[in-house]
This record gives sequence, C-alpha cells and structure tokens, in this order.
Amino acid sequence: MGGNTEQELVARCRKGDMSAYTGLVKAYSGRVFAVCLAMTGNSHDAEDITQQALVKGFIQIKHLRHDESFGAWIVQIAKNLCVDFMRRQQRRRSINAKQSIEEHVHPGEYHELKIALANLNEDYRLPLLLFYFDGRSTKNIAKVLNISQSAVQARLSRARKQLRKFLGNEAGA
Amino acid sequence: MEQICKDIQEQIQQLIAGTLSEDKASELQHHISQCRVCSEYWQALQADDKRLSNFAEAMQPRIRRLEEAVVSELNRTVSSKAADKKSIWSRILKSQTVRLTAAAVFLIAVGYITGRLSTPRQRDLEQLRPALEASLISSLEPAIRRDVLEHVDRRTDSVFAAKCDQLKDELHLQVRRDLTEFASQTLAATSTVTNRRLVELIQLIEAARMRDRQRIADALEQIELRRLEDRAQLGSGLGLLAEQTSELLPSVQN
Repeated sequence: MGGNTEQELVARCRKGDMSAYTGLVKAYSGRVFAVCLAMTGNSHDAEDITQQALVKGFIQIKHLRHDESFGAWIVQIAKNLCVDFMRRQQRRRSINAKQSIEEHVHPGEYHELKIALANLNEDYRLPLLLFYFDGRSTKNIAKVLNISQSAVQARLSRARKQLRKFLGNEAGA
Repeated sequence: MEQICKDIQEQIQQLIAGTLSEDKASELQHHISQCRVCSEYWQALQADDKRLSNFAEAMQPRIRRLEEAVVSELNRTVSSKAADKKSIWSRILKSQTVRLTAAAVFLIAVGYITGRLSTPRQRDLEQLRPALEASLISSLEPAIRRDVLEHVDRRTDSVFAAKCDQLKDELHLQVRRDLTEFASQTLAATSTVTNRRLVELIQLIEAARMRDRQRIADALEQIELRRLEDRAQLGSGLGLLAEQTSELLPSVQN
C-alpha cells in the first residue's frame, strides 16, 4: 500500500468511513496477527487479540497523529493488548507461553512446527512469523521492529537455524 | 563439518530468504549439487520454508474470517450508535413523564383559553390610560428618583475614586521627580564643594611646602654666613697668632 493511499484511507476513516477502514484491515491483518501469534504463542488468542486491536484501531483512529504510520500504530496497539492479555493469563494461571501453545494444538497438522515455533527465542519468532504472514518482506519487518534490514536478515538466519535444530531433533526423535 | 560448508550454510539461509544475488545463488547451487552435507541442509531448509509458508497459507482463511468479523463488528457498532442517536427522540416521546407533561400543558392551555373567552369585555383602553398613567407615575416615580440618585451617587463615587487614584499617581510621580532632582542637585553641590575644598587643601599644602623651602633656604644662608664669619675669624686669629709668634721668636732666639 502506498504512503499516500494509506494517508487517504486514514483521513477517510477519521471521518467515520467504514469502507476505507476495510482496506486498512485487509492490508494489516496479517502483520497484526503475526505479532499477536509471536507474542502469545497461540493462534486462537492471537485471532482474538488481532480482532480487538483492529476494532480498537477504528474507534481510536482520531488519536493517530498525522505524521504517524498506521502500520506502526496498529502494531503497537496489538502489542499492548498482548501484554495485557499475558499479564491476565499469568495472574490467572502461572504458565508460560510455551505451555499455552499446547492447549489448542491438536496433534497432526503443523503440530511439530507450532511446538518448534513456541520454543523459538521471541527475538527470532517475531521476524520469522512476520516474514511468512506479512508478504515475505524484510523491509516491512525492519519497519515493525524498528531495526535495520541487515539486522532483520541476521535474525531471520538465526531463527531458521534454531528452528531447524528443533525440527531436526523432533525428526530424529 | 568443514568451515567452507558452515559459510555455505549461512548463504543457503539467504538463498531461502531471497536476499542472495543471482551470481552468488548460481555459485551456491553449484556447490550444493556437489556437496552432500550442504545438499541435505538445503533440502531441510527448503522443507522448513515450505512448512512455514503452508502454515501461513493455512491460517489465511482464519485471518479472512477475522477481517470479516472486525468489519461486521464495526458495522454493528456504527449502526447501533446511529440508532442510538435516532432513538433518543422516539424514547423521549415514548416516555411516561413526557406524556403526562404534555397532557398537563394541554389542560392548562385549554383552561386559559376558556377563561379568556368567558371573562366580561374589558373597558376601552383610552378611558383607562389617564388613571393608569397617574397610578404608574405615583407608584414608579419615587423608585425611579431613588434609582437615579443612587446611580448618580455611584457614578460620582466611581469618578471621585478614579480622580483620587489619578491625583495620587500624579502626586507620587511629582514627589519622585522632585526627590530625584534634589538628589542630583545635592550630589552636584557636594561634588563642587568637595572640589573647592580639595583645591584649597592643595593650595595650603603647596604654600606650606613653599614656606618650608624658604625656611630651609634661609637656614642654609645663615649657615653659610656663619661659616664665612667663622672663616674670617679663623683667618684673623691665625694672622694674630703669626704676628705674636714672629714677635716671640727673636726673643727666644736671643
């Protein structure tokens, strides 16, 4: 999505234009979902929080500063919601994300992959998921994580290496 | 594993990410076709990439449903807000209190109109005017007079207070100006007197110095005169001594 187009859509949303927000939702849902999945480690929780974040985004779009990117802003909303969610979860049951991913995972499809992803270092899990859920673009990941593209490539490389180790061990086991 | 293969495996990850240049990619493919270890690693990474891509692909319908859910939830929110705005009037009209109030207003209006219609015809207004004017003058004049007087008093007070303030400010300014002038004059006078006294003092010192010099010169002159007198006396004394000595010498020789 071009910068101007995004700004136009945001301007229309500020006036309450729902159809404009649909465009923004379609453009950023993958990115927001990847962030939530990386932070919560659970696809169902990630879906709920993504939905909350996107709804909150429309309601609070008037608070978005004119010079701020919608992508970075909505990702920050999602991150805050994830942090709140995990705090509540920790209060309710002191279990970690690695265990919570197991709750909804049924053995079979992508079972090993989900476990391997849950065991990945979070610094590696987030860029790796963003890569596959947000258009395989290291430029976008660099924007989301606010780091350089070369740093993103390094993290992706380490993520693949670590993932290979976990998947290789599972295959060997 | 050889070091070269470790380096190659770093590059394989870049190849998977699509960040390797075409030249390096073809070199890498050549190495992979020759090296069994790197070939296995390449295949494993490709498989991981495929798995992750498939996983992301499998999640797409859920993300699409999620988008639809967001849009429908927002539509619901927006339409319920609009409905809330519209229904305010209908709720007001349906309210029991509003209905009772409307009935009461209606009854009062009916009663008023009936009363007005049933009262006897009023006398001509022209006949009533003098009596009304006299009554108004008698009842309102003292109050108006009192009001006017109070107003004038208030006005006078406020003008007087403003004038007092102005006068006070002017006096204050005048006093300040006078004091400043007096201070500057005093300073100027003081400095003139001081200068005059200093000049007098310098003159006195100079006169004293001159007197001292004169006295010293007089004293030196006296000393010189006395020295000359002493010298003359000594010369005459010596001459006398020489005479007496020459008189005495022949008698001694004899």
